[in-house]
Amino acid sequence: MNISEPIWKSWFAKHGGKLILFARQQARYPDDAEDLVQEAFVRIWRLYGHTGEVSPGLVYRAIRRLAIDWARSIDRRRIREDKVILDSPLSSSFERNLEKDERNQALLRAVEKLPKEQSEVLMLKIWGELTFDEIARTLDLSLNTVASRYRYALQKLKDSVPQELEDNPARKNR
Amino acid sequence: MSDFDTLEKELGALSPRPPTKEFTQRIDEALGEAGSVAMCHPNLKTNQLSNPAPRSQIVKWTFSSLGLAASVTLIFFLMFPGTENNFSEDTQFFADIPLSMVEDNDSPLHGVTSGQLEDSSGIPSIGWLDPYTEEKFIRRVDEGIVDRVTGLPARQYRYHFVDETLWTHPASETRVLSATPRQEVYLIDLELY
Repeated sequence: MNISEPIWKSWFAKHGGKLILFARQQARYPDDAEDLVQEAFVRIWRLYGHTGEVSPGLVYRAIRRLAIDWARSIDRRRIREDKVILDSPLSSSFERNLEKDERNQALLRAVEKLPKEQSEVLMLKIWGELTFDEIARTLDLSLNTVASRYRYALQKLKDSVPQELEDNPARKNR
Repeated sequence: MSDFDTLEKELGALSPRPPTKEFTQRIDEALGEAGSVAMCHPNLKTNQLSNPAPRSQIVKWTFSSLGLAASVTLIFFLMFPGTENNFSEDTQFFADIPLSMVEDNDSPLHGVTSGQLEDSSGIPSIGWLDPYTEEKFIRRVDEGIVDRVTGLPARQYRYHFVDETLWTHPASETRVLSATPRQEVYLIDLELY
């Protein structure tokens, strides 16, 4: 690591990808994900950054609140309507070698099909590496609700991945 | 091993793409000066920077302080055994101690009367006006974010003042100025974004 580098850069290299993934799930349109992360991260880092360390949970929470605010904002809706909406699958947010792995693709397709309230808990737990307690605070939910949504999500994935593998277009074309 | 362990491991093995250089550059520009407040220190590792106050040290100091306070309290009660289990009479107890009890034999003022003091110092003991007091604001220091007991963040500001008291004796045109530094700490609750 370059010793003269600002701390936020190493922090962002570690957490940035996970934040974008969560923002993508929270935003109404995937194109808004980076804007959401930028806005949330800059706000939180300006508040806490001088300490050299920021809890990722704070940024996740800020992303979620901003996503709600933006969804309500008439101005942003107008801007979005002018944008060309890109249809990008969830797998585009993951490392490239994934494309070679049929099962992983099927897993992510199944994650995409989860109800939003389940997929947000799953993302924060698996890729955000937050505890149930932190997730509960981030999403303003009770601990029990978070834990049960997580279990429902895993159960759905377990049930639906074999079906996803069957429905894989690449396999059908063989 | 639970039913979902394998599934969790499979999902966890998938790594989200790191942010692009272009996006990191955008953040850099948006942060501006705030981005360069915390820099990597050449003699510290990143994990040391993220843990500025080791918990063990805090606990050690807390127990040391508690031990010291307990010792002082014990000595006090040993010196004044009449105060044991008699807190309702505390005020009376202190009022009953004559001031001469604490007179210091080694003090240069020991045995000197007010009249003698007035003669030797040249400062009169009567005829003073009511003292004039003034609170002077020196500066405000932003001490950053602290966590309240409730877990909510707050920004801590420390205000530095100097309290001045001026005694004036018009007859001798004497002025005595006392300046006492003072600090006040304010916590401003923060919204999380």
